[in-house]
Amino acid sequence: MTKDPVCGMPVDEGRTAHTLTYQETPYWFCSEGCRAEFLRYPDEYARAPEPESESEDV
Amino acid sequence: MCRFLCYVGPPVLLADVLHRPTHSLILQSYKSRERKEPLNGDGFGVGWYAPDAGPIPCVFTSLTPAWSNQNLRHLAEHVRSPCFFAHVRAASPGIRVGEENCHPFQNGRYLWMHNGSIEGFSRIKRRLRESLPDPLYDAIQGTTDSEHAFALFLSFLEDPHQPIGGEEMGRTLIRTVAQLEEWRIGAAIAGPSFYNFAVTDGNSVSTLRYVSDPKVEPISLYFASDRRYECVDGVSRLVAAAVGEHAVVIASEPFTDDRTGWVRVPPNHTLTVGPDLRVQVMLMERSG
Repeated sequence: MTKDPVCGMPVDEGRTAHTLTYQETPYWFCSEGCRAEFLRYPDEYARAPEPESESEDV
Repeated sequence: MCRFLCYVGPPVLLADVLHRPTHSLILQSYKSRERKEPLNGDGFGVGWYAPDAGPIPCVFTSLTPAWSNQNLRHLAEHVRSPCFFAHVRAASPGIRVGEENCHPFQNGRYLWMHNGSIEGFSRIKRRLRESLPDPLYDAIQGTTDSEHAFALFLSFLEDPHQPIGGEEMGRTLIRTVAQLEEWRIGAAIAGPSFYNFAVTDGNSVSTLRYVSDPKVEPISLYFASDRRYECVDGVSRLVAAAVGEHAVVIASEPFTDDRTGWVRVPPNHTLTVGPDLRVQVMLMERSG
């Protein structure tokens, strides 16, 4: 498991279809919305620490 | 579209949030940064809770632009609140500019506001209105998609006069958007619709940043938590907080002089703040 760099939710790398590689680092996302957001602000999310808020899928 | 903010935490003077910050909501009413059209001058509104006066919030709306309303300035210098909503409006094309269409909307203990638009709303409006029980149907005063969405939200509550927990509030917000989307898709409306809603009962706050097409950038929305809000000598910022001092601030655009502490609400996620100021972020959909 890893964490979505945009929303902080746990993501199973083997199950999510939403992924990309940025500056040779792979990232996995919970949804297309978060992947698209990363592409809009890649430097912000690639550098950002993990969100502090508690997250939960529904 | 519009700009809004929510504050929940230790009581704060409204002017310290609405007027004094460098990029305050009042300044955003004529100079917003994250909208193509920076003007939000089609009225404004503030709704706040005063716990010693009971659970029903007080609401002040006006059709005048927020930047020129002296009553708002005087009022904001004398009101402290632990929970308030504020909104500056840019009316959607074709929607009447009138005081009854100014946010936040209030019904009982609840406040509601919206930054966005429901695409093709006129084509689903009849279905929405017909789904409402009489009291909620009669309570609608204006013509906005936003106020109708509020009525729909309330119709999903077991008792719209009672407070609900943050989790139920978030779930009901998701159900509201799901219903609107079902009707939109059923009417073959291409979209996209923008659903940045915010709702509170004075104890919990729930909001979301949502666009019906995930490839389209949703309207901006930020939050800050686990920090104390302060405005000292006209300088506003979010600083490290001792236990019991922290606040949660949600806003279309960060408004403090120092942007430290602000985080974007992830697209198509809800953000719910419980009475203990605990923040929970939840995905609204799982695509693919």
